[in-house]
Amino acid sequence: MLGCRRHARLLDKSRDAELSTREALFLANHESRCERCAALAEADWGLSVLREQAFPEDLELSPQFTANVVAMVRVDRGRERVSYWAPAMVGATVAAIAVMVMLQLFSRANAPAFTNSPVGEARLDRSAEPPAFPNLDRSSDHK
Amino acid sequence: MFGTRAVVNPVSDTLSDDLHWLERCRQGDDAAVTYLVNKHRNRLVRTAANILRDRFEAEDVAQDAFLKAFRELHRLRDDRAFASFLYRICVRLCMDRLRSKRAEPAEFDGVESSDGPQIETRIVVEELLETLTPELRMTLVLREMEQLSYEEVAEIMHVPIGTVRSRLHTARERFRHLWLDANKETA
Repeated sequence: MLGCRRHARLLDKSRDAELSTREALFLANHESRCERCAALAEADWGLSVLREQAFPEDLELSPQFTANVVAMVRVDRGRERVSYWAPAMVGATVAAIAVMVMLQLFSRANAPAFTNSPVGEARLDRSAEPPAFPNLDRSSDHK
Repeated sequence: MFGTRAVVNPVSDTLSDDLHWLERCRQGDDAAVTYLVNKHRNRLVRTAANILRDRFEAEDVAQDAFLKAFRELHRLRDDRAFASFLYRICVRLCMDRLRSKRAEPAEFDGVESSDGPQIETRIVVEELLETLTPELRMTLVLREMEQLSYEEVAEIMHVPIGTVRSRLHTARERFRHLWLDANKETA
């Protein structure tokens, strides 16, 4: 029907602001002629019900609410600190390992060659006198 | 018919002492965190509860919003906008929850309750809200339940004011139709 769109627009406007007398009259006239728009205007009450269903301002919260948030923030900061220092720690570890490997390689390069089969031979000379060991037996001294 | 609530304005309701506490908060002061949480928690939980229609879930979302806000405090260019920054995070988290929850539309299978018509009405309202898309539902709740101005809704939802107008018009129209259908079926 003619005017339905205007009716919808004015119905919407009426929720945000006061309508002029002319606008209010148009709504009333149109609703008397258009059954569908009259039903919608009646359903506008549903939006008022919606507003009434809002939770109260002084909504009761769990007593631990603030403590929980503070604890969560503290844990998060700790994590952040770890993640902040983690790259530096990894870098330092890699550098330390590299230094150790370098030292190891350097000390090996200067060390005498090590082998399980040395060049040369060892002989036992049985003709030589056995080495003289010092006499540690002090009891003979007293006699 | 309804004027915008003058007292509650999360966007411009930032007090200058927030600046001092935010600075302390950046330095890792727990007392500052406590102060800011205590100051904003009721309003934040209420907003989340109105959007999600579940006060326990709302508390979870509000806690997450606080955590995220404190984590991203370095992104806040103007400390005076902390409240709207916080509400924007909360609304975004609510939107994410709504999107993940929205599986199938609710059906009106004749609401029956022994607790009287008030509970019945509440259930109908919640079911109607569930049928709306998260964007429409959010706009409707922020305007009708939270009674925020169009500018505030636009700022919190991070959309142009024209988008708020058109979404609100669509949401209201759809809600009226759904309300009619629900009343026909329960009658």
